[in-house]
Amino acid sequence: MRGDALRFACAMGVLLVGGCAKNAPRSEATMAPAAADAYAGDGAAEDASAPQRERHYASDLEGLQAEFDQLDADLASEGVVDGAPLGASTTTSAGASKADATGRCERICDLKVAICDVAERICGLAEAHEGEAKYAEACTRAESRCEQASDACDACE
Amino acid sequence: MSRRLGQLGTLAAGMVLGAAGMFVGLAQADRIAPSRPDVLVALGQRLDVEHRAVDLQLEKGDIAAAIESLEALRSGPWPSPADATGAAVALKHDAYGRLVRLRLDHPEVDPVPTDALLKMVDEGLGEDEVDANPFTARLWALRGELYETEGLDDEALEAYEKALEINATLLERELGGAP
Repeated sequence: MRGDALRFACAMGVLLVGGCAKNAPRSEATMAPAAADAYAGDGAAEDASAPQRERHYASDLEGLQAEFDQLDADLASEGVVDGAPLGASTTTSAGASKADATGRCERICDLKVAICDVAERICGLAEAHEGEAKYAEACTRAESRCEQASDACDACE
Repeated sequence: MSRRLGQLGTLAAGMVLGAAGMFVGLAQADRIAPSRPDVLVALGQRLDVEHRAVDLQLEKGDIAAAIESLEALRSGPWPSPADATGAAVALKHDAYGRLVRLRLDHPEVDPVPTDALLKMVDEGLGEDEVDANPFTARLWALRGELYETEGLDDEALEAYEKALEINATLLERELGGAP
């Protein structure tokens, strides 16, 4: 889920860069240092005096991509398979729609796990506070949410 | 004449309020492009690299190194939502959530008291408004867990209900029944 979110953020950012480039064309060479400056944000002054971190990454996108690829290779050598490079898409449109459906079901079932886990905790509190309506009602609502999420997950192909 | 001017004034005020409302709505729904999209790209790539490094450290069983990496990530810098939209806030919540989860699951490594972890969660949640996402929900659930450990059950219930509400919103969206 984390990998998907990060890829989504990167993809969204790339699209937005493309969109903004139409309004204010700038070369990548001028954008990358600007990104690094802005990325430093409020902490830029702080970083100048703060002790240097142990690991350093390139401040430009190309450098980061190279390091990302290197880490991918490291992960692959360790047997971690979730290492497809950013932007590398080999899926067909049919494959993509199947992947979309699978992704949706995965998200629904992940949500079911999260919802039911929280529901269990709420109901645990309700047990400890037996006789307190606030807790009992919260447990009932949470159980209902968990049931709804479980049904949605079960119904998903 | 003055009546017509009054009507036009009312109409203009309505238009301004409507536009303002639309702007606020779009901003809250993250439908307005970030002022610095390149910042979001840089953040996404940096976090991807860092999270993969943490994956590798966990694969090797080096919990202390994973915690250290996430602590370095926590120290920022984090771009403002104005520069990089709420997506940046959600990614921040992901990093904080992962760090707090790891610290809770491995209290023997570099022990941190519960109240310090609660402060960490509060620091992560911050004041920024963010659209519903699973990372913020997880951070709220962790807050509940920490309050429960502290014996503050009312606060724990409140945090759990917040997490549940966010996850329920996400589920409704997936099922196509919510905004």
